[in-house]
Amino acid sequence: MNNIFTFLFSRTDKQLFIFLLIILFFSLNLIGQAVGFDSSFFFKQLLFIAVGLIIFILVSVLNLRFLFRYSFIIYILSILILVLTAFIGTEINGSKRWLDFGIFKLQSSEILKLTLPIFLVSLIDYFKNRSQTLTELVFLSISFIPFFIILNQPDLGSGLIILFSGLIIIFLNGLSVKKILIGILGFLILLPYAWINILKDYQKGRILNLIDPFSNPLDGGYHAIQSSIAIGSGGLFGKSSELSSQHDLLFLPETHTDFIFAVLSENYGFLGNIIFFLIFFLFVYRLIIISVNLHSHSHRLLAMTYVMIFILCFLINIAMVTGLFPIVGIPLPLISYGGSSLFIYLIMFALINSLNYNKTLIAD
Amino acid sequence: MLNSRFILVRRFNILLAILSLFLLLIAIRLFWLQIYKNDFYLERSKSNSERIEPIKSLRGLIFDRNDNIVAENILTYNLEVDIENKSTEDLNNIIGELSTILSISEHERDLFFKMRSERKFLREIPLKININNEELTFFVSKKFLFPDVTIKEDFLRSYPHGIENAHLIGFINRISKKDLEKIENDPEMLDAYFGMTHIGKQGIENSFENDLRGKSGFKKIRVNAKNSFIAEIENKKALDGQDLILSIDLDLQRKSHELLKNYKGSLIMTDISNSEVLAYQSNPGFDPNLFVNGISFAEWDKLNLDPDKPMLDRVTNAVYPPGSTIKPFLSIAGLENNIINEDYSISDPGFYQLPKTKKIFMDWKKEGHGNVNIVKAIAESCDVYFYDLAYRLGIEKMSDGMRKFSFGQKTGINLPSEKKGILPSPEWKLKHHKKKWNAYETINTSIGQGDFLSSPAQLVHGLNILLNNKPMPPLSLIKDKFSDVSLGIKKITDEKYIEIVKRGMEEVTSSNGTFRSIANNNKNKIAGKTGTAQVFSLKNQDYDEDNIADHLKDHSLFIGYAPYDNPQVSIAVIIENGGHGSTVAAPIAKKMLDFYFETTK
Repeated sequence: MNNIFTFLFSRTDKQLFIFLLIILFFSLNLIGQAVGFDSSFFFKQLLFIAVGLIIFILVSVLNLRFLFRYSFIIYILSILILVLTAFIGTEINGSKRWLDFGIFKLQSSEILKLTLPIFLVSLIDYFKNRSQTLTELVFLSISFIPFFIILNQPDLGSGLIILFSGLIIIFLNGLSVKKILIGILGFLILLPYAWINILKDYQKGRILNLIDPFSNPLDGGYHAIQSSIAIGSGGLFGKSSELSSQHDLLFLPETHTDFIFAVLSENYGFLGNIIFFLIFFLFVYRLIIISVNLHSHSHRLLAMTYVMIFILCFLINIAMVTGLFPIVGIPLPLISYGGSSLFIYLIMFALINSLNYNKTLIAD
Repeated sequence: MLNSRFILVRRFNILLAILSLFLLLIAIRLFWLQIYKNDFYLERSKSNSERIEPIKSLRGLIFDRNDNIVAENILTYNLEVDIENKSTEDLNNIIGELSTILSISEHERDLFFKMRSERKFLREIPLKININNEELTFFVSKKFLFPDVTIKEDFLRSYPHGIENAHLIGFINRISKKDLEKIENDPEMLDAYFGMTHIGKQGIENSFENDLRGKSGFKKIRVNAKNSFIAEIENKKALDGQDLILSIDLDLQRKSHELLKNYKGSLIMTDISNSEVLAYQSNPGFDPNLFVNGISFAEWDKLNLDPDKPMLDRVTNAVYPPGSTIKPFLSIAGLENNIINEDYSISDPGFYQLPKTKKIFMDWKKEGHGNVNIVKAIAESCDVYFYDLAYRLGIEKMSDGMRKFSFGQKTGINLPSEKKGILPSPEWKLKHHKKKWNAYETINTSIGQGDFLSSPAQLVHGLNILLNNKPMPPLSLIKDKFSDVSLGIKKITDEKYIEIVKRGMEEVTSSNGTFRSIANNNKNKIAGKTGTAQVFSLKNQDYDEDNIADHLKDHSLFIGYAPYDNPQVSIAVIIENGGHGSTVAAPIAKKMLDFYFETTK
């Protein structure tokens, strides 16, 4: 028994694991404060974290060669799950994003965060001797398929994150400056078209609310206003528990999921936020060091893409909660309540951890 | 391959740099929200969760002098709708759905939206007032369908004797836009009316509003976003309104209503010793209960367009030519100024010629009264005697003498919009008509015609002053208000003049007087003075009572008191277009006084 633990932990980066535990502890504490330490959400999250950590350890032990070998099948399976969701998914607030497994609902788009990069990176070697442009167009096409499916759920935020993970890989893989500029130009030209034909009214509303949340204080602007009040009232050290009213009194809904950062800001203030950022920074720093020092190009690429997705979602969520960004329904990685997102990130980090352990076995 | 690693790491660093800028932006935003704007958001966070709920004060009850209830509060259940953040369409939907289970009239709907547009401090607005038990239980069973509709206990003002006290008590009504302006300009009023829906509009309900209303309190509570109660922060109890005990006697009210029922007119009866009003009646009237929760347009139009003006309070808000009822007061002025004395007499041929002119003034009795002294002049209401008196006295001394009896001034009765009438004088005419006084106007004034106008309240107040021979406190509607106040000790005039005039008024009900019809039926010793006031001056035409349009007929007046050897109560009656004072007004006064002595003994 003792040997198994030793075996398992010997394959884990100690620093990474410790920071991870600290962050998960943070998550539990904040969810407890948001919904109560005796709430079923709190115990469910405790369970999710326990299961997540087991998954983390187990995945860390995996040899990733088979992942790359079967990456195409993994990708197709992921797409199938998305399609399945469109048919038998659970509808909440007008969008079908979840597959219901009883104890927990799987947000199917989260899987793509994990599997799309694996598939794309596995193709790098295959396209090694093909033209760069062809590779990029193929990558782009592969990324757009899940993007469109997710867009129709509808879930613009998650769709964009998936699309971005593909674009990040293309960018990191050495997209020329010329093509970058063409891409930006194309985007700007397509923007008005997207505004008129793709975005739904509520999505436009959310973007407009960002500009002036008080124009529509009870509908679209409500979250933005209440969230600003929660954060702003936190001050430097956080509000005393007697005054902490925004989330306790339900003015700010969904505090345990997308708006958990507001609970942190309200209860621990600006100083609490800085400490929180510092812990995340140390964790991310460790991830970057590991990623940069991986031995194979495709492994580095995969690890860096995961790190980027993680940072991006982290920042987008906080930007959204602080009113800098439209409300797009991206949870705060590792902190927000919910199994899907937590498991996906833990698997990502486990994969990075595994690549790190196995790097000596793979030479460039 | 080192090259590809170099590119990769460089690209990675570029992305990291971009995201760092993003992070910096977020940090600045957090600094802005949490440090720079902290006070602002802290305040908003507090106001977010605090809600102030008004606690209405209970309006004071009104009793008559025998502790009978005149105005009360009845416990009712109202349906109220939470209007916060709801559009007209939302509210229409709610009301539409409600009307599938309860009947909601167009009128109730109109009142609801009217109140919503006018009352910006109210969160919940009554839609259906005083729902019955059946509706109540039915609604409760369906309550879950209407999260924004609540049942509120409230008190409904009720006037059990309705029309009998309509003008005196008045009524309360919903606070109007105009009332609101007044309330909002006064912070103290704003506090007192917080959450209140009604205000006294007329009569005692209006003039005693501050006593009756009390002061509303409030409850400051913490709520969550679903508006559910969390905790109480502050509770300021409401101060209930004071009860009023009126000097009025409900039995007299009922009797006077009965007596005036077929007439347009009014009646006021007072306690001579202390100015307390015992009966106050004006007819036609209205049911004050109609107004309490907003009168419907149809009912309002009916009252408002009625040519008989049922809303008009004919006791204090209407003024009439007092006619011959002023003769006792004028007599005092004549006696005081030595124009006449007890023994002075004239010979009345039936007309009077204004000296130095050819103007002729007729006596009401064509053949004349013969030899007339002061007592006979009052008893028979001899016009020529008073023409002569007035001419020799002069208008200045005449109006000075009359002023002591409150003519041309308010009696000070605590009721809204009392009219002060007109006591004609040269200054008054110059001021209001920019014209000089003519000698013949003095003659007209001497019989209470011309520009002379006074209210029944004024007449009775003047009579009280005369009978007491001292200035009297204002007519009072509250019982025992002046019982301890030592009334003015300064006499108005020499007591012997009063005695002479009183003898004249006694003679009115004797076999020679104008009210001789009761000469043999006057066990309560009623004395007084009749009056007949011309509404329309007929030129070169004889007044023919049987062939003249009703609205041009003379007003019939009577002022009186009883018993004449120990005056206790006084009365003034006016019947519009009733003809002679002795035929309509005086008999009503007699019945009223008889009833008083019958019931109080």
